[in-house]
Amino acid sequence: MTTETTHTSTDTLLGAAGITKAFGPHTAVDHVDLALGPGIVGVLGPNGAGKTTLLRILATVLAPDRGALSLLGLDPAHPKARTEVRRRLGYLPQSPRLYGGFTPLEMVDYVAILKEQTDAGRRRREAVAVLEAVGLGDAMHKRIRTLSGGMQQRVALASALVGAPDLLVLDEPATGLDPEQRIALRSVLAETSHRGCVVLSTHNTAEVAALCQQVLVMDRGRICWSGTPTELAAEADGRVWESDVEEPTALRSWLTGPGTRRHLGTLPEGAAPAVPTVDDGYLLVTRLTR
Amino acid sequence: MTQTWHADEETLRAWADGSAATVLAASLEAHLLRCDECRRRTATLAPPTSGSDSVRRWDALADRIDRPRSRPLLRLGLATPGLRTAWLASILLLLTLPVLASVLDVRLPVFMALAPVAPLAAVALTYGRDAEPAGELALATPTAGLRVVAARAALVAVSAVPVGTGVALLVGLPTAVAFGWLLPGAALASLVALAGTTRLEPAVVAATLGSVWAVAVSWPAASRRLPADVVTHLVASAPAQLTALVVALTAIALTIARRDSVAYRRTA
Repeated sequence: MTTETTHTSTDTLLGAAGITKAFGPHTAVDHVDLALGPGIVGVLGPNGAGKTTLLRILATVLAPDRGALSLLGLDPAHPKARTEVRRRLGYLPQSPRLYGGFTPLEMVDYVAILKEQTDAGRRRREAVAVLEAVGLGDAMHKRIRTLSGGMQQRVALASALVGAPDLLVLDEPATGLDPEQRIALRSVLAETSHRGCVVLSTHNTAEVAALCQQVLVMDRGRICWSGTPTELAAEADGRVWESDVEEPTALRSWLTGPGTRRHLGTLPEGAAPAVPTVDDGYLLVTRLTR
Repeated sequence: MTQTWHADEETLRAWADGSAATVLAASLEAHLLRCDECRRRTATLAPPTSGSDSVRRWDALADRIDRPRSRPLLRLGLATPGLRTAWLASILLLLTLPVLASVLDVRLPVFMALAPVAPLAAVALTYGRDAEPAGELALATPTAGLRVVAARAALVAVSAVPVGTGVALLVGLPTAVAFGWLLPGAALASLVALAGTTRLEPAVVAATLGSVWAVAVSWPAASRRLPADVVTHLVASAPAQLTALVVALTAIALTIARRDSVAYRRTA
């Protein structure tokens, strides 16, 4: 189990040392250290683990109480550096709350204005390109309020993508997307990850397995595990088995089908170990750190 | 307008491959800007090779159709109903106030009590929760914070100042009064902007400041302790105007110095 990944300082796009953020007596993010290079990083964790607060800090919308942060080699505590980071940043908040009177094209164009793009023609071409990339090519002239929840989510995603950011911070980007749209999302994010860093939070372990080169597991404000999805699954190697009865000695048991139960813990004698999944690894890691 | 005429395929093809005569190309282009049907048919013609003249033409046409109609400052300032309400309310107040003041007998105190409240209310409304079309997403952009607030305040000021002073002069208010509300208005609005950099709620600060100002200016006249115009002339006097200028400049300087907290403040 490691809490840091090894990258040379030259390819660290996102670094954090001891960042902490408290809301009153509740410490939402507690001494988090990060060193991330290019690629897609998934942040997993139960509700209230501090994922959203961590992502808001990384997106420069929230200042940490303590700790040092380095985004794209710049320190966002300084106003000029923060503005510079924001020029190269795309952010998708957990609940975007976009104004429904705009069309998707107007919204993305508006966000491009906020991102200091002054050339109207170039803005339009880029807005059309990102809307097409998220599958909204046919809906770009409809009012946002008339679109479904999943489509509205994709308008926000397109707004985050506009301007080809080097750092993408996405809070649950797959919420409201159907399986086909999730697959489309993967290819959009893969493109950004070639040149920059994508940090996304999710509840979906299957998504992490399919999409991310690295996983961070957060629990109660801390990063309790980090590694690759394969390593996370391997945590449960030899510690997961299936049977059709309840196992009182198991750390955790759940139904996987009619009459079939999956168990995590010390393998009982005679039981055959099952092939572990990222889900198993995640459940084991969060259970063991409690 | 209902479209009845549509271009035939040969004409569309000639336009698309760049072989149409200049006059025909120009008039067809004008038609395509308005006609969905012909655009759709042009799009289904044989796909043009990339880099060709028709690709360039098609891009230019799409540019003109999709390009947002308003300028960036207007889109920043008047995009949402909340922002439009702020702008419209301040303009309407400044339009009707001088007229109302000249019709009513207590004309000057009413005008001086309420005119400076217009810019103050407009600034407070631009801080409103629903004012920002892109919501939290906007906070992670380089323009977030004071730049966006300042652009919106400037837009209100640019339209409110000529309206407020122009109408006041038109209905025959004294010049000193017609211009006298500007600096107090700027001072009050700057104080609200400064409140935006603290934990105080700008709307509450605006309501408090506005009420205190309105009561302070109109109360002596209403209670008949002083002649109606004394307070108004006092506000329009050089020392009072200078004080307002100092307050406005100080508040603006402090707001700029504390600009970081504008973007961070509203997200905690």
